[in-house]
Amino acid sequence: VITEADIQRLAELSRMEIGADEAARLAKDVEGILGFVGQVKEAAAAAPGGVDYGFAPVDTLRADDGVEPAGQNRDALLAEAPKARDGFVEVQKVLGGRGGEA
Amino acid sequence: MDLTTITIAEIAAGLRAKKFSSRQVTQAYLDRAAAENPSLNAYLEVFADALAQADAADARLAALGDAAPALCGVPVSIKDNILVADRKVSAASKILEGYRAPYSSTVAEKLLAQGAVLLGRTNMDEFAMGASTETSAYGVTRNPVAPDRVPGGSSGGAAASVAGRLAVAALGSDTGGSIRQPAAMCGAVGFKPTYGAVSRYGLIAMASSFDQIGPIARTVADAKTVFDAIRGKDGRDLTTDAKAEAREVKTVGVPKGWESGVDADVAERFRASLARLEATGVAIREVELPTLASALACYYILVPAEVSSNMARFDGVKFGRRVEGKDLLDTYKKTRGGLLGEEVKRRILIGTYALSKGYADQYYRTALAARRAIAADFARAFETVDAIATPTSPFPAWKLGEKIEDPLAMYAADIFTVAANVIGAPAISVPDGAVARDGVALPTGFHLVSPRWTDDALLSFAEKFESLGR
Repeated sequence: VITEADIQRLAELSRMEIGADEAARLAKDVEGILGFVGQVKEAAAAAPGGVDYGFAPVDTLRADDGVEPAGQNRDALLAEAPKARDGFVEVQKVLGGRGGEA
Repeated sequence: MDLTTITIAEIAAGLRAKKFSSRQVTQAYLDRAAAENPSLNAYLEVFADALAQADAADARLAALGDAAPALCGVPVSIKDNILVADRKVSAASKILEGYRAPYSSTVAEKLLAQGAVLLGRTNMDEFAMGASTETSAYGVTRNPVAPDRVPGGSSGGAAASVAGRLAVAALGSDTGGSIRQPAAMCGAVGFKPTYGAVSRYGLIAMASSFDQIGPIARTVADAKTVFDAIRGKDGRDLTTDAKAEAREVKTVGVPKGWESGVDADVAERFRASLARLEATGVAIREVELPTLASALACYYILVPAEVSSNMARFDGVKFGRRVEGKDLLDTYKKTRGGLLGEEVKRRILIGTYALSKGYADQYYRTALAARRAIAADFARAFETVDAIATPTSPFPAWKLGEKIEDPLAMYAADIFTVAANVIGAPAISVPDGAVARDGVALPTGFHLVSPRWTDDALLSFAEKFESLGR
């Protein structure tokens, strides 16, 4: 059973504020979905070992060339940040306050 | 001559024969968009410089003639999760409202290099999470065939742009059916290439081991023209390759038990199409895919898991909008809680749960094992058949609002399409007639999956299937 408290815990872990009404709806949905996806066990029982599903990610290294010089796109990227100042993205300070929880 | 009813091939020929200009074709589509988009909402934005792009293409056509690239002067739409430098891109989410792409996706660069005219960016489910385009933060898109019904999703705006004659072709993205299912529901061709055949660089990621960019078009030949323009190895997406395996589709498998949950008239149409194929000498054979029924469950564990990771970057710091809270943590929570829609939050929560300590074995790792089992099942089936056919969707387009309160009912729309993404294989939906609902003929799709890197064989077989219906 997924409770509203479970939803609030998951919301905390995923850094989302969720209201009480929304949590109640989501608890019902998430419980239904987790019940449905549980049937994956049956297919998994037939699984070959290893990690290969035909195109499983492999560690690939690209050649160390064509790398853009540091700061080349800085202005373009900063222009899209909600807040920027002096060449940096601006956020609230986390040291010296209670924000350190993050 | 109505320039909005012809194919890419016909536009390309007409441009070269100087029967009309790209400006005229583009204007015809802009006129359609001006008339129809206010009600359809296929486009979130029609690009104001479309005619200027067309003029540049006309100049290039005048200079190069027959040597001009295939898509030069051809007006196409682009899904709102594919970056084009200096243009807005929002993934249909409030969290990216006003965001402009600082660089172009590889696919956009390739289209622009050919001289294609980008008409506008199309509506979609928020961050491509949905099967009806109803989770967009910018309003629903209506199905051009039946305006009280959904266009499917998540590339619903892309499919509606093609079916509603607001573009000759569209780029969409497909994580579990998001190109093929809306194409089927709007009566267009939708093609999801082999995972790795088309670069994902500059695609706003949803589930990185499932996502693939591909075309929606009027005909299979047009879909192939767009695919040929965007395919290929890309140093900026290390999962890409330029492989192409020769294989001719002669034998088509049909999974045992496919009828389960399929509307009776949709099943009837599908059977009739199999019979038509058989009459042309194609062998039809039943195949055992015992794990197929679990593909949707596997998908709805692994995709949310990847979603919860990919969505972590949207925190109000680097992109789009921010909702200021009392401290940084509160800012994250208010930004994400306030600006992400409910389906996105639902998937983030499920993914967070499936990856959390204590549940990762039961959900995430079990689903990874199921993915291997499904891939092994398909590999066995592909030893005896060249492609596997099903209907694209078990039912035609449903009424707006009908399934939005029931996520599992919505997920069921992708029952036949998710497996191709689970195994990274190419898959296509080709229009397959219609079924009647409330006196309206609603399009259905014929769906084919083939082994990885057999995209060309799949496309040529799909073209053969398409020709049977003419």
